[in-house]
Amino acid sequence: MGGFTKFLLGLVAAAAVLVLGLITWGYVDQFRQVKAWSAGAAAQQVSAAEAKRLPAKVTGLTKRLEALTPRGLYILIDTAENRLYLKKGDQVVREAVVSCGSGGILKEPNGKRSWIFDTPRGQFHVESKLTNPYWVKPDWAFIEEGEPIPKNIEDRIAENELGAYALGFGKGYFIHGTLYTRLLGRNVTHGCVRVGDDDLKAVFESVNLGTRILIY
Amino acid sequence: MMRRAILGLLLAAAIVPGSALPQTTGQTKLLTLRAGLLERELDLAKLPNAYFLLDMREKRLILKAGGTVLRQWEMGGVRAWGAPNEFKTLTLVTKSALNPPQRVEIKPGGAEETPAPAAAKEKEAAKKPQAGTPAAPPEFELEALELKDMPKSFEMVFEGGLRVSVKAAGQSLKSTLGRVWNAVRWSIGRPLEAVYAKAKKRPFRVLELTLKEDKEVQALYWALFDGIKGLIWYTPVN
Repeated sequence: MGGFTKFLLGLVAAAAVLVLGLITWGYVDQFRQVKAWSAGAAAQQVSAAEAKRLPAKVTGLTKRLEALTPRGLYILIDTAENRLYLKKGDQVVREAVVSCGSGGILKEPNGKRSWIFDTPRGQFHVESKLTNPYWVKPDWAFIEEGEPIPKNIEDRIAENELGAYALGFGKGYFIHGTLYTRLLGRNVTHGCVRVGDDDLKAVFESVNLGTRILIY
Repeated sequence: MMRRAILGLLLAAAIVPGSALPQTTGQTKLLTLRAGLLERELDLAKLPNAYFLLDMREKRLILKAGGTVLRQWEMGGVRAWGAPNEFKTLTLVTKSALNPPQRVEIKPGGAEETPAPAAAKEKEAAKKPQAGTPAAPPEFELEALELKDMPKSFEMVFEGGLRVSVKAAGQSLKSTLGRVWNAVRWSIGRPLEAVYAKAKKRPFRVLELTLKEDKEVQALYWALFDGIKGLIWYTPVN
């Protein structure tokens, strides 16, 4: 075996030992960290009086948390699956195929404004209940169509676009009807939640102002 | 042989979160932790936003808002590297994936010039309206972000440096090559990464969540938006 080959083999062996050492160090360090964390967590001391109060504290906190959950009917919307559930507790009272936001972006040409067409997520409430609603088209609706933005509000009004009912849940977002029933189940809207006629009627008649709407 | 046994023990301590946690702390300790977590959850539940709870022991991720469960994901496996976080509320800083979904930019007035904006397709579809709710949604392509566009594996980075990777069980474990790669990445790559991070004085905390199906991973990617807050339960708290 030549000197150079020996040197190379030695180099490879040294590198292997180094890597093995580093790996072992990694494991040892991990073990130490977890042990230190466990010891630290276990070292949290509470006085005897505090310890006595703990079960009641946990029960109280659990009750406070449970008290936040809706008592009566509430609406749950899954924007990924495009489903609306009318629920009471864990029970699904009605399930509907809906259309939620497309997630598209619209930028105003030569302007500074832009819009993202997501259905908002989180916790909302029914803020308005409208029968035979009409749509006051916002600026983006005209920009998207490539039309000039009208000066008069009358020119913004579109009738028969929102179906027979609408439930407002804030910031201009509604659960409403649709002309495009074939698109139910797909993400096509500008953020509102479109519902088929029969389901919309049932949901509209079941909920009151203030009913919780949970969207994810 | 001895070294292998020690390595095995260390590995077990590293990859099984439950085993690395205090087992004999007693009822008071558990109640203290439970109370702390409930207090933090109560703070989150009072906000209008959704939040998550990752229960390492039950292998479950729960999405909630206002204290109500929105959806939950059962996990096939959970692995952890690095010391568990302190019991504090975490904020998701960013998500990354090999093929992250891209938002479609709508061309103003583009219905005539560029085919396929959502509005144009809607109008096309509306020409043939159907009464009632369809049994299955139409399958044509939309220029929209939909569940099917979400990645089937991704990584999340939380404030404080915690990294959480999410994949489906069937994805890399299907092939032998995938299984070997996963094992090598975890048992050799992670300790090396940990040593490197220590040298750089950076925190190194990694969780790996394995869900049962691709679609569940995609739904989780959809549900956990940047900025969402949540809690991780490392210890048995029931």
